[in-house]
Amino acid sequence: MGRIISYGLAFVVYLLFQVLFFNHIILFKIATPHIFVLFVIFLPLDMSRILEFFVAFLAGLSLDLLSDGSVIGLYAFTLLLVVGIRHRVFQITSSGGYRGVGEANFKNQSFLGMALYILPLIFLHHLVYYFLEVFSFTHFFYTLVKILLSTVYTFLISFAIAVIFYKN
Amino acid sequence: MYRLLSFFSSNRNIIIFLILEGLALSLIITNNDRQRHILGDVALELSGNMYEMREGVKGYFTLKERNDELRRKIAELEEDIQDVNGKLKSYEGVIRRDSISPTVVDSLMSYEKFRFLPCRAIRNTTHKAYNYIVLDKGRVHGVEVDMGVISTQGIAGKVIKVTEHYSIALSAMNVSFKLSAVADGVGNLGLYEWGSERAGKAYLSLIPKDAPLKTGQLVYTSGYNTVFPKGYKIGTIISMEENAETGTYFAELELATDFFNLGDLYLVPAYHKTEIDSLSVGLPVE
Repeated sequence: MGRIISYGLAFVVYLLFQVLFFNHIILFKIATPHIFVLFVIFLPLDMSRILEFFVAFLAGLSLDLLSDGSVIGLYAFTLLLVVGIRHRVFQITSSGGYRGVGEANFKNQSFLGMALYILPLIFLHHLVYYFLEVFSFTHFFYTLVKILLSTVYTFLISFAIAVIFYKN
Repeated sequence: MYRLLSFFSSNRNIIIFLILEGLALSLIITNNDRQRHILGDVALELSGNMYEMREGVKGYFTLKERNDELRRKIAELEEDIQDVNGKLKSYEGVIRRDSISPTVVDSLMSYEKFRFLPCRAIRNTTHKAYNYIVLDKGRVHGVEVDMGVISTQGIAGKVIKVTEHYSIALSAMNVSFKLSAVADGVGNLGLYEWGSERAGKAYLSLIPKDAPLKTGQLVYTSGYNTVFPKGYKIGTIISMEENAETGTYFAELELATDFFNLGDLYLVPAYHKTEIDSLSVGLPVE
């Protein structure tokens, strides 16, 4: 019960910060940090898969509705994708070995393990997000630069947040 | 039957995952470009209030730039006045000024078709594929759908939705914003498209390659629609290439309006729009 409240609170905080702050600190006129991805990346690992799919979908949808100029369904699609593969990524990158869901814990991750876990998920999110938003490959390299810059930007902020809030 | 059921139960995670992804994808496809309308009037009124407050505070930090811009504009207008006065003087010998009566000379009336309504952008995006501008004027101020939005530097957008006190305009930097345009000194009509998802740049196409198009040329609105009057600046040609297949130019433009710093804007009402539109009613299509 306490966990539901604390993650519900985290959801509201992430949502407000994303909509009111992070959406407006655009770097080089193209890179936007999508910090909200952290909410689904750091959902508890022992949660039921079906529940986490629904949480990611609805969380994405509410962010879509609140951020202006965004295409409805875009965040819902990418966040669901991130949640869908995060267990596999965690399995590969976790430093202490990943034997059972009960043991899975972000606190035991090393700094490197943490970075290796976050980075591919953030990259996947931006890759799918921007190509789906543009919906064409005509300006492939421009979109790619946008994706890479945004990924680096999001990752730097995310890593700081992850170390401060999830490692202890 | 049993095997079918056990297949579903053992793969239910992946099935639910795929169903939700399909749902999200169908949402993306059906809502592309129309998401603004889904938000509805209430959300616009509410968020409009919030953005206006924020813009009120932000406005203080750009006061100096706005002042400079207005001063520049005043200087330009001053020059125009001098110019017009000079011309009037030269005509005085030919006709007496009071003999020109607007009720008789109807061609003078056409210049009154467009009268400007000053407004401010209280919300503006530049980094999306579909950018919108929220304006602080609405139906009570006389804003209507399809009005043109211009800045002091050039065109900015077109109104697509109006509520009591606010309205939303399609930014010229929106994939679905299209406009007929002419280059300075070239008679042929071209098509303005943003299309590039690149801030500050846009494209001009469909101009035949025998037209004297050059880089550095200014591009203006053509006036062949009821949204913008003729002769409003769109941008400058910075590069161009020929399309051998269609025999037309494809030029890249640097937009005249600074979309990263939209402050004071003007709405261009289309006074005779209904009348002009009614002309084409009943004409055979294609």
